[in-house]
Amino acid sequence: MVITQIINDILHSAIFWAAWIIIPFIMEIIPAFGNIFLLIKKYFDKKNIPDIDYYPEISVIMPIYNSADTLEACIRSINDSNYPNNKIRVFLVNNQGQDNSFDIYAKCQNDFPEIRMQWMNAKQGKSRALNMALFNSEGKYIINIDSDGILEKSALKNLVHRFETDPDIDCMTGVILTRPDIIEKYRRGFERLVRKLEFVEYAQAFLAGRNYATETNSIYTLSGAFSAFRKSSVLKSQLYNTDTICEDTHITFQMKYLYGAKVGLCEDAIFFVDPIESIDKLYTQRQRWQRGSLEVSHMFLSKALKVRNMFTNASIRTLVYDHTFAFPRAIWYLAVLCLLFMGYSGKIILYSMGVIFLLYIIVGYLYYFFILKYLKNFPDIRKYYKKRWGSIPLLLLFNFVIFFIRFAGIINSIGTDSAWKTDNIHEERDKVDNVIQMEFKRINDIRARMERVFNNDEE
Amino acid sequence: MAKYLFLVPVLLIWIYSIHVCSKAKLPFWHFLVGSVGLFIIMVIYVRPVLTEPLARAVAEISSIFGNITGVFQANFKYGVIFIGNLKEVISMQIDFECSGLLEMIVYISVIAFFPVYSIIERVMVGILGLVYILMTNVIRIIIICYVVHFFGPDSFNIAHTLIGRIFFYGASIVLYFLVFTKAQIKRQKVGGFGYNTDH
Repeated sequence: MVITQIINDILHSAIFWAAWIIIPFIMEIIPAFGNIFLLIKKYFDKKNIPDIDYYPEISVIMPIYNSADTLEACIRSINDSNYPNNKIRVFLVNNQGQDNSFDIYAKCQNDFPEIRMQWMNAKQGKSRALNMALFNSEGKYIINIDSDGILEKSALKNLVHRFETDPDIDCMTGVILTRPDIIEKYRRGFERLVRKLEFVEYAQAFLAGRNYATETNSIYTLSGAFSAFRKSSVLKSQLYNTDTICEDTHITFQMKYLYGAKVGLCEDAIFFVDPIESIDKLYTQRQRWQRGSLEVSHMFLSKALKVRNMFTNASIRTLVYDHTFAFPRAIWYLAVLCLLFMGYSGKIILYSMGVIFLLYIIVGYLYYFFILKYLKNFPDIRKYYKKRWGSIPLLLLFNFVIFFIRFAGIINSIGTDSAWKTDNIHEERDKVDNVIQMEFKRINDIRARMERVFNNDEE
Repeated sequence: MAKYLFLVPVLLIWIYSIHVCSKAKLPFWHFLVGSVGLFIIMVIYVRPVLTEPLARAVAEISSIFGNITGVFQANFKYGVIFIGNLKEVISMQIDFECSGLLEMIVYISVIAFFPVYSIIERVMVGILGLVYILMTNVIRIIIICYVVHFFGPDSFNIAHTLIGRIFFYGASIVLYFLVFTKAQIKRQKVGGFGYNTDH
């Protein structure tokens, strides 16, 4: 009876009265604590597996598309890695790029003679480039990396170590982080802040998000920028799909659903990419990611879209969080202000939002704490991440903006095929300006014509 | 009544904004301006008019079930439900929040501008959805009445804030999943692209 009384008292209080505490609490905060539990469990379950003394041959596939500016740094990072260079074979697959990437490749052949490199020309498209190299690779493990990033020194070795010591795992994604040295080159203020938030977002998405998803084999997508396969598994698949813009998610779904493979994260294999160039780029990039996930859902989940699968199928559940919830959420977010003008007390709304905000921040800091633990073998990057403690509350704001960009991706995907070019914010604003100008011009024309008629009459 | 003076300019600005987004071929902004605008307009102008009739309707429909089982009765005029148990009679007022009107307004706002469906489909799916929301809300009220009937007035807060709300929210998610997610994923177009866009 006492417990009932306490629950009643809590429910009776003004704070709990508002609907938007209970629902986000059940749908987001409780699962987040479940995820944190998985991270703790994984961290303490981790056994110290001794180093391997045998290094198999690996194939590194790198699609090239106008990559002249970044290619050398990327190849250098392979050369400088602690995996034996004579066991690495690199396939650089040019998919109809027009710049002087080939010259850079030729120079790298001279500069890094220990690495065997091979240049190939594929038809247009990243998937075709990847497939061509897949056919030609002979390594025991196949590792795909983008040509615009750099490998952390021990990334290749750690990947192979994981494959060699865990026979159950068939494919893995590495951790993608943005490069702190480039972030710090941005002008202090808003520009740098956005990149720092993006860095924290990546850390959270990989070292927390995909890390706990590994525990339940529910990783939604391997990163196209850095992923690795057992050759024996990936060659059984239908290879990379050339219809979708999200070939990385497609192959993840293939491995999981068609071949029952275990997909995981190698949390100590890091690949660094450049921070986002501009807000415009962020706007189109995130919309493209959202579109890709919808396309792959169409290809794999069309028959599984049943209500009961919301509880049993992890991909359907992800879809519910990503797509179904987005609709009421978008309206609610924008309507909260509107509700302040209604009978609802502003105080209650603010209290409710404050409580939810606080809970999200607590969850954010718990993730932050465990990410620090997982970064313990990378002191420099750990130090940089540690300094970002102030970004955790701001990440909520960043995620809020990203939510709307992804929502734009959902709506803009409707009725358009993959050829649809996503406009950036400036292009969208120009379009609006043009329409308004044209209409004002039309009104002016009509006015001028009427004036002429009127003046002629007078004459 | 000052708010009605604003109705015409508000409507004009809203419709013109939708028109510009549509002409500029910006599907997302068309949806957002349309849906949020419709939501705000309905909350300000339609909500006060419809709250009471809807609350009465919910009370009335719920009471059909209540009368059959003898657990509760409704007063149509005031939208009040009387729940009887062995010791006492408890009255429960169906207010704006319980009427489900806000949920209906959100649903109408989204479906009205959801471009997966043709206009006719939007009307059909819209009506079916509203009936669904009305019926699930009625079930929610029935659940609350039953909990209060069996566990007494002290259980009202748990029944109302926790059980009723979770049920109603879960039912809404099922609706949104079927109407928006399933429809879009099924009709999603794939393929036909070049590679000259950004990477």
